[in-house]
Amino acid sequence: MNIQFKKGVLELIVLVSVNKKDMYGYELVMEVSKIVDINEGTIYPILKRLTNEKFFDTYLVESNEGPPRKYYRITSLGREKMKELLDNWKKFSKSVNNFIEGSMKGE
Amino acid sequence: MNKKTFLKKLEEKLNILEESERQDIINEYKDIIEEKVKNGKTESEAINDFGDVNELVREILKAYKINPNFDEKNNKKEEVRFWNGLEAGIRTVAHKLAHFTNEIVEGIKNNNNNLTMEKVFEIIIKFFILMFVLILLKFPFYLLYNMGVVIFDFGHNPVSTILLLGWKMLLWFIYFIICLVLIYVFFQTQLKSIDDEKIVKNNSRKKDFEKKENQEEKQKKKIK
Repeated sequence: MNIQFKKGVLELIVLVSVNKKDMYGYELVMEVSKIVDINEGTIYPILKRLTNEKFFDTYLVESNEGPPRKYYRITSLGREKMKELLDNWKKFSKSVNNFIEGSMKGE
Repeated sequence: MNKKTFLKKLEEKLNILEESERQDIINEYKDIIEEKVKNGKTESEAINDFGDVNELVREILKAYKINPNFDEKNNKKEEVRFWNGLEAGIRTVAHKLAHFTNEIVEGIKNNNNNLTMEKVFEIIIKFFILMFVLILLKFPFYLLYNMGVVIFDFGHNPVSTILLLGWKMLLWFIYFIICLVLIYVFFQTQLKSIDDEKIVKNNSRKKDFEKKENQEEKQKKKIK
């Protein structure tokens, strides 16, 4: 799959995943890799960036298997951003699909 | 690459970030690697999943709106490498001094003194002796300087003044380095002797404790 597509949509996927359920780093990496086959190294930086921009909150949860885990939770600001990106994605994919269908019909 | 090396590399390259942020990131990657290992991967495999470290660092820095090119271009310049090295050196010295002072303070706090007042004064006196030695050390440098005056002074012209100045600076620089080295060695040895004393005291305490235990056992046997 084209790398450009993947990168563009990664932010959206991260937002939607965390919106579905609070997650910790590893969990998110696994979740996103299921959806898009992408270099995992790029997922955490996006998570970090979205957190810095206040779209996510973090909190620690004690774990008896080791050090406390840092969980990420979406903020209301984050939900707004997610809706914005979803909107863009829908419009974008719709236009592209329409265009392709239109062109294919012509052949 | 193993986990330690990878995390160390990451830490170095993220040097520009604030300590708390950097630690935060390192911890997350550490957790992710460990979790992957728990789920069956080897450390190498887990790390390979992240791809190229440099690329990773670029992406991370973007999160802080830091121009990722900053590090690549500038670190190649000699100048910045020098300052980085200097900063690192200063940090180590500060760290060692803090450690040394901590040991002394803790020793004074404890009433079971590993470090007695006696020892503290010992160190202070030794320090003054060191200072005295360093002052004495200046003399040969003065002699060298005067030699330089004789050699370079061929009349009042700018060339000789410059040469003389250069000579003076060189000598000062060498003297300064020697002083730093001696002070560093001094602190190292003092620190070591404090640690050694601790170990010796702990060992002698252990022996005392073991003696006691043996005595108690013997008594128990007698009673039986």
